Parts: sequence; C-alpha cells; structure tokens
Amino acid sequence: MEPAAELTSIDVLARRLPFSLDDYTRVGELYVRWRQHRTPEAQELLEIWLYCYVLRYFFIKALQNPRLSVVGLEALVGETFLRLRSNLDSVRYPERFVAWVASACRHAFLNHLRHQMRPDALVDEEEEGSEEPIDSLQAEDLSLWVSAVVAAIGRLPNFLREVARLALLERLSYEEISRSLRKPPPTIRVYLHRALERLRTDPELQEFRALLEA
Amino acid sequence: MRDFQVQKLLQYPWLAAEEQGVLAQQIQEEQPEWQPLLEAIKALTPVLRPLHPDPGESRFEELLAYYLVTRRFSGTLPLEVQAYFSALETELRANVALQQRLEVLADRLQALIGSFDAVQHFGSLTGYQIEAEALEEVRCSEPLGARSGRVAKHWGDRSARVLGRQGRRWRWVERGALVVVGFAALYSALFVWGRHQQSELERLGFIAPVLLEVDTYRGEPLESAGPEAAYRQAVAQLRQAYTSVLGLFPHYRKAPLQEAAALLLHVVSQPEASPLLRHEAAFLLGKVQLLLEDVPAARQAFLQAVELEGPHAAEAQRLLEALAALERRS
Repeated sequence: MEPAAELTSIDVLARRLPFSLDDYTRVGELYVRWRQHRTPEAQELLEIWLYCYVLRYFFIKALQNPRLSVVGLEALVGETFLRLRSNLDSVRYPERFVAWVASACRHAFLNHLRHQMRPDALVDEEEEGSEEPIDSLQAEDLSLWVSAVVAAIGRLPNFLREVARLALLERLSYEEISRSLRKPPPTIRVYLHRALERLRTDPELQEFRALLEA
Repeated sequence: MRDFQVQKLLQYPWLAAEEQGVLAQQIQEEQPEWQPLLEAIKALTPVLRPLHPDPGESRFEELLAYYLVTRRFSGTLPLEVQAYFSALETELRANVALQQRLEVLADRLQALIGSFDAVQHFGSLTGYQIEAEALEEVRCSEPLGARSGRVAKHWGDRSARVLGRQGRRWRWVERGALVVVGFAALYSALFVWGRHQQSELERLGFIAPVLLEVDTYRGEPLESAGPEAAYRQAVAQLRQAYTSVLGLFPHYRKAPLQEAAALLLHVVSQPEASPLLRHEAAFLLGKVQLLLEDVPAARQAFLQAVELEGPHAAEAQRLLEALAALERRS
C-alpha cells in the first residue's frame, strides 16, 4: 500500500526544493524574489517548483484516468510547464501566482479531455473560458481545492490556525479541541468564529474559488 | 446548548441538507448566541465541504490520488497537510474497502513512477543538469528504506513485512551499494567541480538539447540550400561543438561555435526566411555569442529574437535581464 521505497527521479527533483510543494507562502515569496531580482538561483527553484506542481497535478489525473499513457502524460506536463514558464511575467498579483498555475493546469486537462472526446475538434486554448461546460468532462479538481483550503488554514495567525486545524482538518470535537489547546470552550468558539471569518476573506482562497468555479 | 448539538455545529458543512435545516432551526430557537458561528460556518460551507467528501462518492478517488502523489512528492509536509492526511489515514484504517481502492491506485502510481524519468524530462525542457549532484544529496540525507518506514507506520503489519524483506535484501546488496555510492560521490564531486569551472556566461549560454531538435517538427520537405539548410548546418555545428566526458566537464569547442555563429547570422539577415526561423536563429545566435563571450553581440541577437516574436521571446527577454544584472554586479 505504501508508495515505492526506492529513490526515483521524482524524489531527486522534489528534494531540490528547500520547502514543501504545498508551502504556498514560501512559493509566493520565491515568486516575488524572482520578479524583483531575476537571479538564476531563484529562477531555477521557481522552475523546479512549477514543474513539480504541474507534474503532481497530472500524476493525480493519470491515476484516475488509466487511459492517459506515459507519452501523453509527458506531453501534457511538458506543454503546460512550457506555457506557464513563458508567461511567468504575466501574473499581475504575486499572491495569485499559485492560483494562476492551478487554473492553467485545470484548463490544460479539460482541453485534453475535450480533444479525447472530440478528436476532430480543435479547441483554442484562449477560448476555454467561453466553452460550454460538458457535464461528462467536468473535472472535480478536488486536489487543487483541498490543497488551497489547507494552505489558507496555514496562513492564519498562530492562535487561530491551531483551532482551525483541529476543527476543520482533524475534525475534533469542541471538548477535544478545548483539552488539546487548554482553553475553555467559549474561547474556542470565539477563535473558531474569527478563523472562519478570516478564511472567508482570504484573497488567495477567493482567487482559487473564482478560478475553479468559473 | 446540548453537547451533541455543539458537535453537530462543527460538522455542519458535511451534514445532509435536512440535518442542516433542523440544526439551524434548533440554534435559532434555543441558543441564539451560537447564531454568529453558525452563519460563519454556513458562509464557508461550499469551501469546506470538499475537504471531507463521503468515501462512497467517486470523487473520493481523487482525494486518495492526491494523498498518494503528495506523499510521494514531498519530504516534509506542512503541519496542516500532515493533520489533514492524519485524519484521512484514520479513516483509511477503519475502512478495508477504502484501503483496497488505495492499493489499486498505489500500484498504478508505482508503475507510472517507474516509467517516467522526471529529471530527464525536466532537463530536456529547461536545460538544467541536476541529476548527479541531486542524487548524491538525497542519498546522503536519507538512507534507503527510511522513507518507506515513515509511511509504513500507518499501515501496520503488512508494511512491516515489506520493510523486513527490504532489510534482508539490503544486507545482501550492502557492499555492492557502498561501491556504487562511492562512485556516485566521486562522480558528483567531479560534476560539481566541473560546474564551478564554468563561467556565468557559459551557464547562461548552455544550449538545451531540445533547441537542437529541428529535423522533424516542421514537417516540410528538406531544402538543400537557403536559410533552412543554413540553420540545419548551424545546428549540426553546435552538436559537434559540445563535448563532455560522461556528462562531466561540459565544454563547447570554439571553431564549430564560430562556424555556427556565421551560419545563424546569415539566417537572421535573410528577409525571405520565415519570421519563426529567424526568431529561432536569433535566439540560438544569442546563446552562441554568450559561449563565445561576446556579450554585446549576444544582447543584439536576443533583442532581435524578442522583436521577431516566437516561442523563445520570453526566454530571450529573461536572458537580457540576466545579462544586465550581471553587468551591474561586475
């Protein structure tokens, strides 16, 4: 059941990153640093993160779609990565960088599915937004969504983050949270209310929501 | 407010619509002080609901895939991701059917990983050569089997047996592996040393193999003369120019580089050549001029590549900025 034990080229690549693939705060900082200074080091790291993120997205899709061959996977990853890489400058707000990458991955996969179902139809990448949604092609993209929400919880201030983590991710009861944090239940209620309010107005999460629900 | 209602309130996003309605009414009538929290949870329900889908739903499959692939891609996960996965693992332990679904996906992932060379693919797309030094770093930082051990603790006896088998195998191959690791360390040291010998211009001028693949993708009949032919000759010269010993000490020979530069310059100055070909030639010319350490000529070529527009325009712009930064530093 466990993933493979031996080291593969994916391990080699992912371990080049000084932070986790899902540490969107550090990714955002890296992107800002690259935009400001353009150092080769920042560019290399940014490109490794970008490649790994795109690769992970399509690996998740490939696991659910056994018809997607390794050759097809390589092409999808390569094309999406190169398109994003050549447009890195076009992100207007750095805090939206990860959402922008996620959205591009989603569009690339939807476009791939459309081509699969209608091999004779050429779908222009630019027109994806205006395409009528095809029910059978609706990609769930739960992975993008979950990682965005989990990252948003990670951006909360310390005292709110713990409550949100225990209540929303681990789904502990009030009593368990209260015991774990050694705070009375009324305090937990107030903290949780604040955490939810913060999540509701988190700009990056809002961006994700807009992009994924579009 | 009764305890079970409080608990239900936290579970609101994942309750059935009917239960949500009943709970909302109870809170309104019996405990209005909980109303603000209920409203906050309600407002976030569309956001929170996908976090914990019902295992019976088909989209749970994507969650399992996300779990497996993310574990594979990340050494140390952020605390929040760990917490989320920990809750998922608790659910998995209690659900044999889910474990079986996870097994199927894990086998598929294993096969996929075995046939996908990410480092080579990444290198062909970007020109980065990171394999040797990275492999060594990973080997030093984490012994074989340590990673599976981390994951195995979640999966009880079966994984323990797998690890046991790996341990026995490891003893048999230990000596051989040490020799391999020794060679890898030596190779890595030479690789790093070789890279340090390269100047900044050589690093910026590195020509990714993908840039030299010209014969197959245009799908047009090959010309024996004209700009297309000159471009192909230039590419052939560049292939000849590159030398390395087992991937170490990469070096470009000057004479073929100069030949290639002359041919590329010829292509760029041909108005009858297609704009795309001229763009590609200008970009390649910029790289060659960097390798020849002629920075003004490289800058001019990259500017032309940007003006002519094409797939390498953004990269050319980036190289122009890198050159400007280099000048500011020196």
